[in-house]
Amino acid sequence: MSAPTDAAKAREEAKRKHESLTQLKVSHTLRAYQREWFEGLRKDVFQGGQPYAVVGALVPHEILEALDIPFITDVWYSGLVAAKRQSGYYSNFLDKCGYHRNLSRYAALTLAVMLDEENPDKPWGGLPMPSLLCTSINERSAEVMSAISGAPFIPIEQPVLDRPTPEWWKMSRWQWEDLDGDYRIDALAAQYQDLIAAAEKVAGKKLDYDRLREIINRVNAQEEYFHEIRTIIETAPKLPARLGEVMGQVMGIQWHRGTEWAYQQARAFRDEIKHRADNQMWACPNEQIRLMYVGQGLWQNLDFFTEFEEKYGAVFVRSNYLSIASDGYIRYGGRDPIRALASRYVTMSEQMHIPGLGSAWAIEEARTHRVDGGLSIAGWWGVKTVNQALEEAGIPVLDFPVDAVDGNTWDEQKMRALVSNFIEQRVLPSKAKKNIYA
Amino acid sequence: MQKPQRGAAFQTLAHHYAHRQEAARAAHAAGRKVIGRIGHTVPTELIMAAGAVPILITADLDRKTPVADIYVDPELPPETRTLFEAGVDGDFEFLDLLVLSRPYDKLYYFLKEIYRLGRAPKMPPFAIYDLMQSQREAVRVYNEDRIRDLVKRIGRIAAKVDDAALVAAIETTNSTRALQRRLGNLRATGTVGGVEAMQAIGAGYFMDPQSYAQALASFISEAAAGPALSARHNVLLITAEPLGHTNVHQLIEAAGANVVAEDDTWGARAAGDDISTKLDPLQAILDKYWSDVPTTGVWPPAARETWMMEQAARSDIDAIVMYIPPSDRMLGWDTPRLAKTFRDMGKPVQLLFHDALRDKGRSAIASELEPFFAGIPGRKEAAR
Ligand code: SF4
Ligand code: SF4
Repeated sequence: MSAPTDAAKAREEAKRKHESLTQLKVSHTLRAYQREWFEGLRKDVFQGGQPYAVVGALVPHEILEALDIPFITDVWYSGLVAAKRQSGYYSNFLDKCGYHRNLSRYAALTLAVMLDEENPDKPWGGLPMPSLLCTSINERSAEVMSAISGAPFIPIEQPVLDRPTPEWWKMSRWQWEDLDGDYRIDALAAQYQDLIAAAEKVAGKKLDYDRLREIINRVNAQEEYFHEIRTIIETAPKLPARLGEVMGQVMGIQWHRGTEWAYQQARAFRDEIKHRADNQMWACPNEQIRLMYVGQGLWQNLDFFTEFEEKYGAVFVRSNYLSIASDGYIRYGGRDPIRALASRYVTMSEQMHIPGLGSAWAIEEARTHRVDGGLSIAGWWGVKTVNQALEEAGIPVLDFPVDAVDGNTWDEQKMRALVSNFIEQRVLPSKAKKNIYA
Repeated sequence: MQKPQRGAAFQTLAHHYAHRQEAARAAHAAGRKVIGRIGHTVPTELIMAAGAVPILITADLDRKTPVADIYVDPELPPETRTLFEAGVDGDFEFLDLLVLSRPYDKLYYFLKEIYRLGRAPKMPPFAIYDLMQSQREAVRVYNEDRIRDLVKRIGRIAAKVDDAALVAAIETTNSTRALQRRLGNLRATGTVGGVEAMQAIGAGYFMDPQSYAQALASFISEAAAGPALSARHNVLLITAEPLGHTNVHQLIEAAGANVVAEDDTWGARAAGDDISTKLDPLQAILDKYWSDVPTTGVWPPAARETWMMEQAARSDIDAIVMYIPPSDRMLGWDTPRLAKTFRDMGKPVQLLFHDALRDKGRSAIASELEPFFAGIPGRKEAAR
């Protein structure tokens, strides 16, 4: 397979382009920290053999943090593989291993890198076998990793949201026992005890509940900065920072949530956004059209979001990532840290796409961000209902046909044409109509 | 394959297998309470104990889905789309209550929303029964609370459920399980074919329990006295999705083989073990549906796979067919490992990735099965 060399070339080019588009100072500090952190991980874990965990995005990282167990998140790692433009190669690799095409690759690229013994150009030299796995019970690729590594797998079974509340974000901070249902919180808390037991074995020490409480509160404080950033973006005359950069920053911080670094970085991020807004430093001074982005990150090509600035003055102002940081994570009043954590994750991410919850939120977000249209990535259950609700609320939506991390489905020219047509044929006319009535 | 003529009992079973709502609609017309279940983990015993008629609600996968196409994402199983459409169209209006099981959580969410929007006014009251199927203590309290809630919900709609009624219901369904296990033995001896067996078992999800037991008992005694089907390869079928149809079985029969067991509640795993009569009846019902109903939610893999491994090891099983249609999001992760395990056991394995519900998929499957069975020595030769 010639993929690695092609990928390396494409990577160089993407990197150059990306650097020329970077507007935020925190983008540089983030990258520096990521390098340093990864260097530590490589030294301690990949080479030093320190035990580490592979976990899903929706499991309580805070527990591992409190036990000083290094961990990587499956979807984050998949995103990393995609950012290195190797997702196409690894997706094909999974085919070769007999895992059929219709299985989600979103989290499974971690498994692919672990299985691959051929590619000399593995992201950061590949992955050693983990000592602990914890993901959603539906993430069968984690079961495969458990089988090949012998590491214990703690599955998380999310209780069904039997009583959905459309405007969930109004209750999530303080009224979470009612919002999530005490019985659902109990169900997750009981499973967390299994995770704690397994993690304590790996760590060789007992969980310090005071430390866990501190971490949970630090996550709250960090998400409060994200909340401020979102408010600035909603209310500033124009967009102070590009979506690709904002998304990269939010996720870069979220993966380290609970640490002092994450808290400080979030504050620096807030400071910079505020400074830019106060000094009218706009991402695109000629801003004409505001678009929202609905769905999973377009991790293979975050710079895509800047492509329409020059021609249309079109900017992307909003993604799920910043908004869920603000609305989904904060849990106050957590005397029992395990229950607070269970509530934080019991509907995490699903509230963005469960019909009713996802649509109510998207409409609210569209309103507060003053958007003229939306770009919605396909391949996410629930997204059709969200799109339909947006359309009914007068927000035109483009259903974008691409897998969020699969490099094989990305056709730059086609994608650009789709968005251009959408702006010309749907967004501009709908905006013109609104202006008449305004 | 030569098939013996079947009498009235089988015709009754086949009729109700094909006309799935006929019996329940008649019961409704006669003034009985009817409670629908979507998925096999909703215990019928609770419904029976409340004096109501249980009916399994299944998807008509040929149905057009104009409304679902607006709301329901294409990557969700076709079942979700068609059942959603049926709900919007008012197909479930005759039910007094509809209970969805955990594997249908997304259908539940979509129905909840469309109902909230006022766009499915004919939906009956509906609820989710969220039985978690990992085999571990951590989910016990949650599961116990869920079944108690369900008992209350059903009691509110029909009659209040007490222990005596539960014991009586368990007795009825256990005797049906005994009959279904006898049917399983007849499949192994080659007296009942796979397609017939699927109909005889599946009818039980749609008929009144007493009439079903009678019809099944007569069919069994008739078949047991009859001749064996002509010899052909015995197949164990592993399926990625519940098989509420006989398409895959028909294709395998057309290729000259016969499915003698399938890892599916629609077939060989309908009966499973009896519900214990030694425990508190509600506890016994919970245990049965928690640990002995095969769904993709069962965990760990060993628990999910014990039954299929035992079957695969049977000396009379000649080949294993794994049906993994495009809607699969789960079994595919186990497929390479399972196929290797079976092959290491000396069993030929055929993987089918096409959709047996589509003409194109069926012809693709047929063209794969033909050479597969032709390549397996033994039984088929003897049959000619
Ligand atoms: S169009 Fe003008 S304002 Fe917008 S990004 Fe380009 S140069 Fe900047
Ligand atoms: S009740 Fe339904 S399944 Fe039965 S005959 Fe009528 S339409 Fe067909």
